Amino acid sequence: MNGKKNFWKTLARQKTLCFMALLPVLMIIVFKYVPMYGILIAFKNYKAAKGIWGSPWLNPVLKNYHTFFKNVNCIQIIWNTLKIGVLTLVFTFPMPIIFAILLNELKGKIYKRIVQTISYIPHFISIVVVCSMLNGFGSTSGFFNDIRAFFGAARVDMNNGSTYFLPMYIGSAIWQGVGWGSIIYLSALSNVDVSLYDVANIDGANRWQKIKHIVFPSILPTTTIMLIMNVGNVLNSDYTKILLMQNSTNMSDLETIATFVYRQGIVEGKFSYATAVNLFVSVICFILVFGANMITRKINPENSMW
Amino acid sequence: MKKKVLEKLAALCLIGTMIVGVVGCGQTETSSSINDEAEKEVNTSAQTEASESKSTEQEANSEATVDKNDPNATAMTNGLNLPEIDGGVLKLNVSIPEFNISSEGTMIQQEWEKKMEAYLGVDLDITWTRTPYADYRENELLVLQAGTNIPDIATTTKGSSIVEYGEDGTLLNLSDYMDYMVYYPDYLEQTNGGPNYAKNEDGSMYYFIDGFYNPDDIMGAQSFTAFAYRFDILRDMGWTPATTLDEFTKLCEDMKAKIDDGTLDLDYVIINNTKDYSIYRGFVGIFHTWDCLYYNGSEWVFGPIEDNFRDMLKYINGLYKAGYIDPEFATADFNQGTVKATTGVGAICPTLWAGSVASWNSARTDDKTEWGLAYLPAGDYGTAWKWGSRQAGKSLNANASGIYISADVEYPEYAVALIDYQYSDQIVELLNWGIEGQTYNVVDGEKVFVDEIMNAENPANTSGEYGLMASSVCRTGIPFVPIDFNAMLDLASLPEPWWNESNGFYEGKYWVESSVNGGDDSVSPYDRAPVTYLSAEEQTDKSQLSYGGVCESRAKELAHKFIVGELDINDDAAWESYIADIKSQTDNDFDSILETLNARTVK
Repeated sequence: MNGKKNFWKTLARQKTLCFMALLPVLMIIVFKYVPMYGILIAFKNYKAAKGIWGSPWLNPVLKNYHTFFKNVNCIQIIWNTLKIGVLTLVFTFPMPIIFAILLNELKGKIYKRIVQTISYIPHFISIVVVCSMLNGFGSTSGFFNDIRAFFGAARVDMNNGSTYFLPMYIGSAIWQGVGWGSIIYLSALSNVDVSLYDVANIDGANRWQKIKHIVFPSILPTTTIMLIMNVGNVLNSDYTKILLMQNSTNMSDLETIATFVYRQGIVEGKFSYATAVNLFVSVICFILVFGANMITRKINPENSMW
Repeated sequence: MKKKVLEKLAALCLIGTMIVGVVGCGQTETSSSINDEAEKEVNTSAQTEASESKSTEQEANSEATVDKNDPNATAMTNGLNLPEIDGGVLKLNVSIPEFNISSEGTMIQQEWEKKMEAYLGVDLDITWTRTPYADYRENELLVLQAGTNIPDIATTTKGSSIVEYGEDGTLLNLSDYMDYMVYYPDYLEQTNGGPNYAKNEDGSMYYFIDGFYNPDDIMGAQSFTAFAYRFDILRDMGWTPATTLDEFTKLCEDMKAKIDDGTLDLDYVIINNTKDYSIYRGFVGIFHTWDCLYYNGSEWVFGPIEDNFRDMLKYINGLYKAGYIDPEFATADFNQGTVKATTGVGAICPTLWAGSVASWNSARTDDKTEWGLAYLPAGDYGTAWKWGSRQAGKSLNANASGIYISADVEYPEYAVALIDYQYSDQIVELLNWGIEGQTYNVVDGEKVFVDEIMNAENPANTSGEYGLMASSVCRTGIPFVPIDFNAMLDLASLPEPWWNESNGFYEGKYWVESSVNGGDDSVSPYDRAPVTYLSAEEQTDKSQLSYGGVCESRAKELAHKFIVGELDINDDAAWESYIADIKSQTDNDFDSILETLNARTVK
C-alpha cells in the first residue's frame, strides 16, 4: 500500500519527465506492441481479403516451420547468421568504447571535437554507397589491392567467394559505427566525478591506472546494458548490406535468416512463411537477451536491466 | 503579486484571442463550405448540361456508326452500355509507379485525360498516388496483402502473383466485364496462345496485361542476342566477328596470342557486362538451352540441368582455362564493367543488354575504341536462339506487368472501359507519338518526331518532357499502355556499329538488326511459350524454378564453380551431384513441379 503511494508520489514529482516520455511510450505501443498480433499469420494461410482473424489456420499449424527446417539450406542459413552476428558483435561492440576512452583522454578541446565530428560522418553514408565502395575497393585494381600491392602481396579479387567477406563486412561496420556508437559512452564519461581524478593524481596513478580504476567502472553499467541489447540483435544481420555484397560466387555462404526472410517475404510474397521464420529469430533473440540479463544479474545485480 | 496578475491577464487575453480565432475560422469554413456547395451545384448543373450535350453528341455519333478506331469513337458509339453517374463525375483513386520523368502535368497526360473524358462521356476526378518505380515494385504486393485501401486502379509488375488476390475477391474479375472491352480483345486475339493467354483456367482474368504494338512485324530481341567486339581491334588485325563457335574459339586464341606477344594492349579477351548477368547468359542461346525454367518447344524444362547446358559449361570452362576470360566476370558490377570496356581490359563481351555498346562508345576514354555488335555465332545446335523477340502486330507481353482494378471500385464498367481504351489505336498513338504538328509530322506516310525532339541532345528525355512514353523514360496515362515499336525505335534505340557477313561493318539499331540477322530460325521456343494454367500455390512452386528463384540462384553459384574449375565439369559424379543439389532446393518435389507445369499446359 505504502509502495503504491510512493509510486504515485514519485510519478507526480516527475510529471515533466513522464510527460516527455509519453510520446515515445505511445510510439512504442502503437508501432511495436499493437502490430504484434500480426504474428498470427505465421500460423495461418493468410488471405488479405479475409484479414488476420478470418484467414484459416494452417494444417498443421506449424507447417511453415516444417517447411523451413526441412529446407536443405536451413542449417547453413542458421550457421551463417550466427557466425556473422557473433563475429560482428565481438569486433564492433568494443570499438566505440575504446574510441570514447581515447577521445576522453585528448586534451585539446577543438581537436577533440573535430575528431568526434569526423567520426560521425560515415554513419550517415547510405549502405548502397558503402557497398559500392567496398565492391570497387575490393576489385583487383581497387584501393584495398593497392595497399596489398604496396606491401608486396598479390592482387586478389576480394569480392570473389566469401574469404574476404567478413573482414569487409565487419570492417565497414566498425568504420560506420565507431563514432556514432561512442556518443553514449562519451556521455557516460562526462558524468565521472572529477574529484576522483584529483584523488588519483595525488595517489600518483598513471594514465592506464586511471582508466582501469576510474573510467572503466564508470561506464560499466552503460556498457552492460548496451551489451545486453546488442546480444538481442545478434541474429538480426544487416540484410541490405549482405544482399548488396552477394554475387554468384558467394550466394549460399552469405545467405542469412534476414536475407532469406527478405527473399521469401518481399520478393516472393510468401508473407506467412517469412513471418514464421522471423518469429523464430525473435524468439531466439528474446532468449538471448533474457539469458544475458540473467548472467549479468548473477554477476552484478546493479548492472542488469531488470 | 502585480506581476502574477499581469501574467494571468495576458494568458486570458491569449486564450480569448485563440477562441475568437477558432470561431472565426469555423465561420469562414462554414461560409466557404456554403460557397463550395453553391459552386458544386453550379458545377453539377454545368456538368449535367455537359453530360447531356455529350450524350446527345454520342447518340448522333452512334447513329452515324463510327468505326472504333476513328478518333471520334466513344464508348457509346462502340456500343458500350455504361451506367449513369450522378453528377457526371467519375471519381477514381489510381496508384502508379513513376519513371525517370513524371507524367504529371505533361501535355500528353492532359490530352490523355481529355480524350478519356470524351470517350467515357463523363468528367474524371482522379486522385493519383505516384511512387518511384523501384519502391512501387517492392511494395505493390504489400499493398494487396494489407487488404485495406486498395486503389481503384493500380499498376502491377507482378501480375502472375496477384491471381490469389483475385480469387479471394480483392480484385475485379475482368472476364465478367468483357462487354465493356472493345480494344483489349484485339491484343488478346493476336497474342500467341490467343485469349487463353490472359485468362486463368476458370476463364477469370484479374489484370490487363501490358501490350506491345509492332506494326512492321520486326522480330527484334531484347538482349543477349549479339556479342560485342572491339571493332577497332578487329579492323586493325584484319579479323571479323565469329559466325560459328569454332570461329569464335579461333578468334579468342588469336587474340590471346597477340595479347601475350604485346601486340594488343589488353588484359583479357572476354569481359562480362555486369555481375548481374552470368557469363553464360550470352551462350545459352547458342547451345539451345536457357538458364532457368523454359519451354523448349515441346515441354517445360529446367535449363541448367540439361545436357546442352553441360556442353555449354564445358565450352566456357575451356575458354576460362585458356585464360581468355577476365577472372572478375562474376564480381564486377555494371560500373566496373563499363570501366573495363572503356579502358582496354577486354575486347569481347558476350553478355550485353541492348544499347550498352552505344553507351560504351560514348564513355570511351580515347578516340580509337569502337565497340560493335555481331549476331551470336552458330553452334552445333544450329542458328543461335535470341531472347525476348517481339511478336508481330498487337500482342501482350510475357513480363507479367499490367493494370488491376479493385473489386470495390464504385463503377467497374467505367474502370474497365477506361483501361480498355488505353489499348485503342487512338490512345496508343497519342501516348507514343503525341500530337501531329506538335510532337510529330507525317512525312511520306510515315510518322517522324519533330526536329526539336530528334535533334535534342537526349531525344528520349526531351520526348519524356512532353509526356511521350515510347522511350519508357516517362510513362503516361495509367501504366502500362502498349508501346509502339516504331516510335520506340526512333527515340530509344540509338544506331550502333554492326557487322554481318553480307554487309561487313555498318550501322544499325539493336532491335532491327537482331530481327534481320537472326531470321525466323532464331526465334526461341521460350519466346512463344504456350498457355499454362496454374493455381496460386503452383505459381509459387513455378517461381522457384524461374529467373531469380532458388533453383536458378543455386545453379548460377554452382555453374560458376564448373566454369572456374572448382568442380570438374567432365566428372559425371560431380554433374549428378550438381543436379541433385539443384533439385533439393525446392519446397515441394522438383520433378513433380515440372510434371504439374506440363500437365497444366494448353498445347
